[in-house]
Amino acid sequence: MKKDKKTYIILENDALPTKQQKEKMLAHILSEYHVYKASPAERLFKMITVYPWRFAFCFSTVQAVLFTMIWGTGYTNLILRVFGG
Amino acid sequence: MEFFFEVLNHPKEAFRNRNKMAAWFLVAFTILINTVFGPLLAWFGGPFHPVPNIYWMLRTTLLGCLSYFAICAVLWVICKGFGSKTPLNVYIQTWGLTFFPTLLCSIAVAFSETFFTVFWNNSIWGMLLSIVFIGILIWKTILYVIFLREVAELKSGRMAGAFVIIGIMIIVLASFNGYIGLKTPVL
Repeated sequence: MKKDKKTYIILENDALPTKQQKEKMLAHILSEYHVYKASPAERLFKMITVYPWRFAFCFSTVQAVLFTMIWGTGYTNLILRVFGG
Repeated sequence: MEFFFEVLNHPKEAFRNRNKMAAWFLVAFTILINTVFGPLLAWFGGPFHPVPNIYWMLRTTLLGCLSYFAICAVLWVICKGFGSKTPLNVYIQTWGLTFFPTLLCSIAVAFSETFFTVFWNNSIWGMLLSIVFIGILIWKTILYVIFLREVAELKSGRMAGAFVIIGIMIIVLASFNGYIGLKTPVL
């Protein structure tokens, strides 16, 4: 019984990673770890793709107000003629 | 209902979850607004009360369905040419998820056409309609780009190439849709 226990402890110790292996694992984790920073283009893409209607209608409102102020009904009639069926 | 909010607000996740029933519901609803609701609205609310033609309604509904399959086939062929491995049935099941703006456009077109005299030469109404139409166009374009990235899995240069060529095909198919009587292209 005592012999069995000793064999078990030896097997268990063998299964554990060695000091060298542990160091290798740590080095691997450290090399993989870096603070992820999204670039401005990525952030803009994310902002547009989540709630896409929000960006679309904001942009559309700006252009509609601006162009109607410049060209008046000439612009709105043109849009109506092109898209209005 | 939850899925419709996902399609509306988080299209990227909606493309991944691929709910084909929601996609086809959006397509069917768009076609019916175009082919049944539009003529009925003109009949009841329009200044000339044109009597709707059942034969015309059935014909345009069928052609609307064909138009959906045609755009899916075009997307599949061109994306395949640019290196996408996505099969055709995935396009048929997911392209319909971009139909939220198309559905809104068909409703806006039905009203703007029937009540044309209200909107014509009116800067306030015209400006509001301009916000709706241009907003819908930008929204659909955003969904189109997300679709090419997420479903067709195309990146940078290949995506730009596919975007331009499919864009040209969309213009051609949209003109054909207009010719056969679908005022909002089922694309």
